[in-house]
Parts: sequence; C-alpha cells; structure tokens
Amino acid sequence: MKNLISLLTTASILLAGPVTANASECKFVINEVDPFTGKLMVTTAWEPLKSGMSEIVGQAFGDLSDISAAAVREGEQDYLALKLKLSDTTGSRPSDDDLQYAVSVPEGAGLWVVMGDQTTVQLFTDKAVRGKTKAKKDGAILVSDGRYLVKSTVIIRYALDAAAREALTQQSATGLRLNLRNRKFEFGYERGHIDFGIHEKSVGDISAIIGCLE
Amino acid sequence: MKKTCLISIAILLLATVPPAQAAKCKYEINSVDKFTKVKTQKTKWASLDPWSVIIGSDSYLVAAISADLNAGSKTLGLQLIRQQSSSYRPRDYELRDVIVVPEGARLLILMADDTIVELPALHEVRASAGYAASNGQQTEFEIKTVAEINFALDESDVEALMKQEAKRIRVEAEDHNYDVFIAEALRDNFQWALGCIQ
Repeated sequence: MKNLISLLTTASILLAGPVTANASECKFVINEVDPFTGKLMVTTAWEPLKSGMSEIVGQAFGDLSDISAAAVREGEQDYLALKLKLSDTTGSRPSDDDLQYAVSVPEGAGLWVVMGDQTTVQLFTDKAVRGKTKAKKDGAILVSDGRYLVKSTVIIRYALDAAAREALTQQSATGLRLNLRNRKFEFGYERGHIDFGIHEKSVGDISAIIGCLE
Repeated sequence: MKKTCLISIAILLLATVPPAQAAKCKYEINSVDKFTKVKTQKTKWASLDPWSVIIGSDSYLVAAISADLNAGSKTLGLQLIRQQSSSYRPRDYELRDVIVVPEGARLLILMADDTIVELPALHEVRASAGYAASNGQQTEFEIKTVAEINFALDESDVEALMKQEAKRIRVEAEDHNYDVFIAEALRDNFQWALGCIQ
C-alpha cells in the first residue's frame, strides 16, 4: 500500500490542495425530490477522470480504457459512483458465462482513495441501501486477427459517510485502488485490483463533484 | 301514441345503457361462463405514455394498463415494453430475465393530489427478450422485452383510483425502478379501465 501511495502521489502531490466546488459548474442529471419517497435525489453528470500512472493487477482485467466519476445523493445517503470501461482480448471465443460475469464487484468491495497528503480514505459498496451491489455489465465481441475483444462497462457505487465526504472535499484525490473480481476466461474467477493514478488535469475532480452535493 | 311509445323506449334505453364512459369500453375478454355464470372481463391495454420513456442511454420503455375481473375479484394489469438496440447479435444471457418483478413488489401510483396508491404484484414475473435484425446486413439488432404484471386490487384501491387522475407510476422491479410519467391526455385511463369492469 505504501508503494501505491508513493506511486500515485509523486506526480501530483504539488497540485493537491483544498478544493471548493463552484456550484455554477455543477452539472446534474437528476436533481429533484422523489414524489414517491419524499427523498432528495441528486446525481451529477459523469466526469471523466484522465489517467495518470496506472497499473492493473490481475491478468484477467485487460485494459482500463475509461473511468468516470459522479456523485449521488439519495435522501440522507451519499455515494461516489465510478464507471469503468474495460477491454480484454482472448484467443478463444468466450462463453456466455465468461461474458456475463466478465467483471463483477463483490458486496462490500473496497475503494481506496489516495489523497494529496498521502492519507487514504476507504469506501465500500453499500448493499443496505440498494439491495445489491450496483454493477452494470455489458459485453461485446469483435474478431480481430483471430482474437476476441471483450468490452465491459461496470458502474460501482461506494457509500459516503460524513467523515469520508469531508475528507474527500477537503483536499484533492490523486489516486484510486479499486478491488474487483473477474472471471478469467476458462479458469474461473480471479480477484484483483486496479490502481488508477489521477492525471494532474483531473486532480480535484472528485472533490468538486462531491462538493456539488452540498 | 307512437310518440309516447318512442319516448318510453328512449327512457328505457337511457336507464339500461351503461354510462358514456363504460360505453366506450373495449375488451380483450368479456364473457360469462355458461355453467358457473362466472363473469370474466379484461379490458384492452390502455397506453400511459404515447412516447417512449428513455432509460439510460440505449433503452426505451412504453407502458399500458388493463383492468381484469375474474369471479368477482379485480386486478390491475401492467404491461411494460422495453426496447433496446444493439450493434451486435445479443447473447443468450443478455436476453434472459431482462425485467424481473418479484412477487409482492410494489406498483406505486402517484395521484393528482400527490397521494400514493400502492399495489402488490400477485406473482413473480421474469420477462426475457426477443430480438430481430433491423437491417439486411445483420449489423443492427432490435431487442424487445414485454413484461405483463398483475397487481392485487381491493375496494379501497379501486375507490382511490376512481376518485381522481393518476400522473406517474413506479414499478419496483428487482434491480431497477421503472418510472413512467403519464401523458396529460391519458391520466384518466385508470378510471376508464376500472370503470369498465363491473
């Protein structure tokens, strides 16, 4: 973990600092009181995070082509949502099971957020609110030089308590470690993680979108 | 004498013909069993939204209701049709259980005065999809899922739904809340359908 922190923060530590969300820059997909539950429902637009120095640990995950973040409020509960687009290639045609379970996120899976001062904030997927881990999967196959390209999209929501929300808005996040589970083609499941270094151009984006909930 | 007779017939007709609303009733089923004398009625599907509701980036939803009467028991049917497009031939697992509504899952109906009528699903529904190529090159596919869910109705539900118009519904499916805003012109369709099963 210490190495991870060093890796992810070296390039961007100088840029990290307190971030105040500019409300006028906040873009919302949903911002209304749910008439059925009476709860305030807020979802910000997806903010693409530019990649810095990143590493995927676990052979079956392939490449991370895109990662975006959004902040969600459902009544009293806030979430940080991450959308991952992954791609992988395989020499044999993946079975339906390979595709269906291409990437999954176990209940209670953790997310480490590395902050500018090298501290970490740990978040978990929250089953209690939604009933199950929110993970959307879609798989597409294309044949390329005899190999199959498999694309997956996964949306993961991590619960935020007051302390985590404060920590994430006080300073900028410089890196993420996402714990995932993947079905390695023909060989069953494999656990692994993605270490994602946030590019200097995107440092502060997570703090800004969470600030939009205020 | 002839005039008096005609007036009498007109009065008789007015007394026996159902109200104007009921006169427009259209049924899928409207029969009485010859042996048991049990009456069965099912109205035709009445649309709630003439235009599709967009779910996410690639899915569209249309919804319709029907009212059913079977041996004196009333239920409300809800038809959800989800349409998606795909740039590749969908895999089997993508077609299975696209809409899953557990037994007891709620249909929430937001009425004009913002009160909510809750109806429980009578049975679990697991609706799978079918697909067809939408062009000759087989590079675009339309995926369609039709779920028909029956919800229990008691007399107080019927009374609440008949009293005023409904403006929005939500189905609490297994992994997704299906929300439908009811079009202005179709907000009395609950009253129409329930008024047709007597």
